[in-house]
Amino acid sequence: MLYEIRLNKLQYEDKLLLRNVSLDIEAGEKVLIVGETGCGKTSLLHTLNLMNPGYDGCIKFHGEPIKAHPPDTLRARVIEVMQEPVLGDGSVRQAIEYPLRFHVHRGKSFCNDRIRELLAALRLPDGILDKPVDTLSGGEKQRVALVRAMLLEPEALLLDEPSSALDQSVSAQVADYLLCCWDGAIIGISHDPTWQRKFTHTFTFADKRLLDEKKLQSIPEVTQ
Amino acid sequence: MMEVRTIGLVISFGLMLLPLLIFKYMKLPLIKATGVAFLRMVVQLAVIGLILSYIFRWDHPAITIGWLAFMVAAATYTVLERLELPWTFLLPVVLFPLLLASGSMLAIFAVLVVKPDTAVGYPLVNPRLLIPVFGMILGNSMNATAQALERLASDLKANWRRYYSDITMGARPREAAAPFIRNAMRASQMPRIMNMASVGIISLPGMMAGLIVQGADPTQAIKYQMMVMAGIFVAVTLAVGGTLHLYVGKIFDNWYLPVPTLRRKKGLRP
Repeated sequence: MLYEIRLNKLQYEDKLLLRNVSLDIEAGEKVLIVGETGCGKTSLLHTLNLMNPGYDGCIKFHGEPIKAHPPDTLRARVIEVMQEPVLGDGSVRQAIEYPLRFHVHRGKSFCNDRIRELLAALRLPDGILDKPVDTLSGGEKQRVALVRAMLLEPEALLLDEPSSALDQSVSAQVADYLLCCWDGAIIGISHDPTWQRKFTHTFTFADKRLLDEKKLQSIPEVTQ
Repeated sequence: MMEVRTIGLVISFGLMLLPLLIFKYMKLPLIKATGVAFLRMVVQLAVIGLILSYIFRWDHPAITIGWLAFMVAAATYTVLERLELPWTFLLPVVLFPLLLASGSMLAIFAVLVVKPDTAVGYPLVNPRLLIPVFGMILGNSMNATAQALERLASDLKANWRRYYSDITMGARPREAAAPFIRNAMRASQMPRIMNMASVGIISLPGMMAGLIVQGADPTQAIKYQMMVMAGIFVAVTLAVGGTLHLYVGKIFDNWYLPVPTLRRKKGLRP
């Protein structure tokens, strides 16, 4: 089991967001978290990579409490991609290779074929690698950040509205790749119906609790 | 020795009316602040002059070292006052690097560079040498430390999303804060590097000017000055490096997030 989440309370700072939450996430699963704005979706996501210390209960990652994992190791295995990613001020290639300087990623390197494969899968041209980051559109930045995260080969990605800056056709293709082709788990928040349909496991939150859990038996088909 | 006579002092005080009249003419509300600052300068220097004359007269190692310790305490207090964090939080971060960096440089000065000739009975703890030199080393380290900490805190606040983004990809606090630590060191050292490059051409530094006015040979005065400037630069770098290192170790918790004090004071939130 990738995550076993048993929370009595989930808080952000001093605000109580959720009570009695119990959910399990398996390796490679594509999990969607649904609920109204402010219901605690993002805070829940952030408990999973130790970015929100405000909870009471136990979260296990591979059977071990997440607090027992060193934060850098855990966050190298479960990478969060921000809605408006920070890519620095160099070229796209520099932005992509930036995390390789972290101790936790030592020994890793990216081969050009893999970079090209992922760029193509997310409908980005090869030439984008030499472009300065600040000339990219919001949608391109989101996809570059996704490529960077996948190159680090994490077991799971935490995605908060990953398609917010993508146009319809690109968004569908990105969703197809991430949710139907990529091996790792995805735990995401999305209001985009194209994306929502492709998740295999959906948790719905309302009134400070888990309202509904839906699990698809088969993996949805690629649309294109 | 050229002496300042009382009448000279009175006349120079009288000349202070001139800038005040200019402020009045410009309707610039600086008269009160200038007056207070001037008074403080006079009182502080008078008291220090009196204290130093006693310290030099007694010339006792314990008293001299006690005064040096008081100087460190005052410097630490000045830095803590400038920063917006609780002093219990910052005290060790500021005190130890200041004490160790400037203290060890002073010790090296006293033992190695000046070479007190014990055969003639020249004492190692000589207040006439140690107090002014320590004042220069400590004063510079103090300003640089405050500057560096202010810079690091403001950079971290302005680039909080960048820090956040780095740690969510597995960076450790020192890795994610590295660009800000570099900037803080640069910001605090740049003025000193510029100063080192331009010294002597336009302005003579205070110590050298003092020695020359007192009739010392300029070639002797520059030797003192070179020695002091090197000492200052080394001490500043060690103090700032030490403070930044300790500060970064203290502001992040086990999960690499800002400690509660910083979240409240600086508004850094995950």
